[in-house]
Amino acid sequence: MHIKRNYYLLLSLLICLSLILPVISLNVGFYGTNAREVFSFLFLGSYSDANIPAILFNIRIPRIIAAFVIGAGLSAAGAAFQGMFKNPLVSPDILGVSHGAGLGACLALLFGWSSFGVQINAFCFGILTVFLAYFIGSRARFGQDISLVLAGTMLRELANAMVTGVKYVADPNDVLPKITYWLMGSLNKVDTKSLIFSLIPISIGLLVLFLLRWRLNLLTLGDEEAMALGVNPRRVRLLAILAATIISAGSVCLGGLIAWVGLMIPHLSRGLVGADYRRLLPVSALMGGCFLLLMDNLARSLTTMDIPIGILTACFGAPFFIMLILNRGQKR
Amino acid sequence: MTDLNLIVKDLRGGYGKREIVHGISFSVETGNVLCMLGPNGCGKSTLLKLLLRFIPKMGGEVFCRGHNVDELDRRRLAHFFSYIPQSDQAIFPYTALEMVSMARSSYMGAFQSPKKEDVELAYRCLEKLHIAHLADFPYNNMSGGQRQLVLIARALCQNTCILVMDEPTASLDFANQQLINDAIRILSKEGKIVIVSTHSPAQPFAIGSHVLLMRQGSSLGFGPPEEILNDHSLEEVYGIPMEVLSVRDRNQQERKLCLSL
Repeated sequence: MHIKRNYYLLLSLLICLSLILPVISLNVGFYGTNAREVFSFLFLGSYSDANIPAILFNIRIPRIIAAFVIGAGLSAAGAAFQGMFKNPLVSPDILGVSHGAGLGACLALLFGWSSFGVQINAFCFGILTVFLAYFIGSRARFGQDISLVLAGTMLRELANAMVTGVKYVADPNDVLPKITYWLMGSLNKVDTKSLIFSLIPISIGLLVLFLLRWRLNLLTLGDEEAMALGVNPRRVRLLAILAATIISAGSVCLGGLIAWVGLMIPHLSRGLVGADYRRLLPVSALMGGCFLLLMDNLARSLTTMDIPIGILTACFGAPFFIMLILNRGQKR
Repeated sequence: MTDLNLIVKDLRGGYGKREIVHGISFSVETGNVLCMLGPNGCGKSTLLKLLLRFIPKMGGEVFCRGHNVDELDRRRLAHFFSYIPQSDQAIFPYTALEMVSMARSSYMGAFQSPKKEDVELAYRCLEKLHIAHLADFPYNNMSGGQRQLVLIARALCQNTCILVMDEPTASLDFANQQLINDAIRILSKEGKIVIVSTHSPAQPFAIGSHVLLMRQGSSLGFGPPEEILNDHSLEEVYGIPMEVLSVRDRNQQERKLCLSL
């Protein structure tokens, strides 16, 4: 079967890329390092530039892992949400996790908390927003997926309004730039501690989604068909929402609002390997990881300044979206 | 009472507090096709949903092969009833084989995927309906008739004794309608009980061994189509003058036609 052969080819390609790209990325950054020196330090342990161990272990390695894991997590979460809402244009923020987390971060910044406090608060607010959306959505009378989307949209706008409110009262000399910068999405504050904090929920969520990969297919059929096939759609959906939410919250609290990855990558993967989540999830995750790492390398090296990565992903995402709309038009 | 049949006793139910189906009773033996016929809003779809337990019933009992259906959980129920919805537009590019494989979910654990045997069984179900050539073809690019056949193959792959179809020929052209009717005959030869809701008064004559004539949530008659469907009963159900004609086709087979006058 050609689909299967293509899948294994693509998967091995992506695995190779996921191994090579991080090693190359070790050399990218503001501080000029020489490739031979980096590799001789990594593999032989010898170095002449005294800054190299600190730069690699405190800055570059955490950042590379963060970029890869966030990209993989957002893409897998996006793929799961797209399936359960039967809409290929859904992003992981559909139930408001990112905007909720943004609000949490803004409040923490307003109160002058430490960066770790900001991260924890962002994580909690992200989760809380989705719980609220789920609570409202599951109480509505009409179809659960529609009411969830409506509740999520409403809460997202509410969080947005509150973020604007926080910005309005924030000190424009000190706090406001921090808030603005956080919301843009950037990986330049990633350190080992914040990475580990986010790594835990993201890995658990990815594991759960991976285990559910076959059941996610059934959610795309709609509740009645899933029930007739002997599956409780509400239970599967709740589990998938929980998993995708802790992934997204873990990603957002580490890297801020990084748009488009979770919409674009699953869509692209579906075009390559089909809709079956047994193939779609691994391919989305690996492709998302590689993509975001590439974007972060660009963010670090394009200019002398560290460009917020959210800007770069949006610059790639918007044209992609336009292409998508135009292609859809052609098919009919 | 054999244990190879479906018995429905005084089934009632609806949405919220409103009762739409008011006490329907019938029984079907294995290998038979039951057509539910009636005008829009007569409660056909609600009755299907009650049978499949998509909505809670308000009264009555359903027995399948000697089991009281209420005592089965969702997963066990899926070993007795399968559902063939109307094939609407699909969004995601699942292949036919993947679609049909989904029928095996009730035989697997929550974290399991279909095994090789499951996929082979799915392929055999496609073969039985003569659509094995579509196995790797994306479902969302198929024609309406092909999609409907894939859904029938899925129900076959679920290996249930009862298949419930919601207006399978409603949006299909004439040739595709015949294709679906043939598929229903294949199912009944496999020893399945097939329950079909339909808008076409002639369809019970073509495929049905039984017909349940419905109006406003109640049964106006249940039995072989030749006994139940006549000028008088169809006029009563549809509220317009109707006539059932008997004709011979060029193979000297007796055929029935239903006309409005």
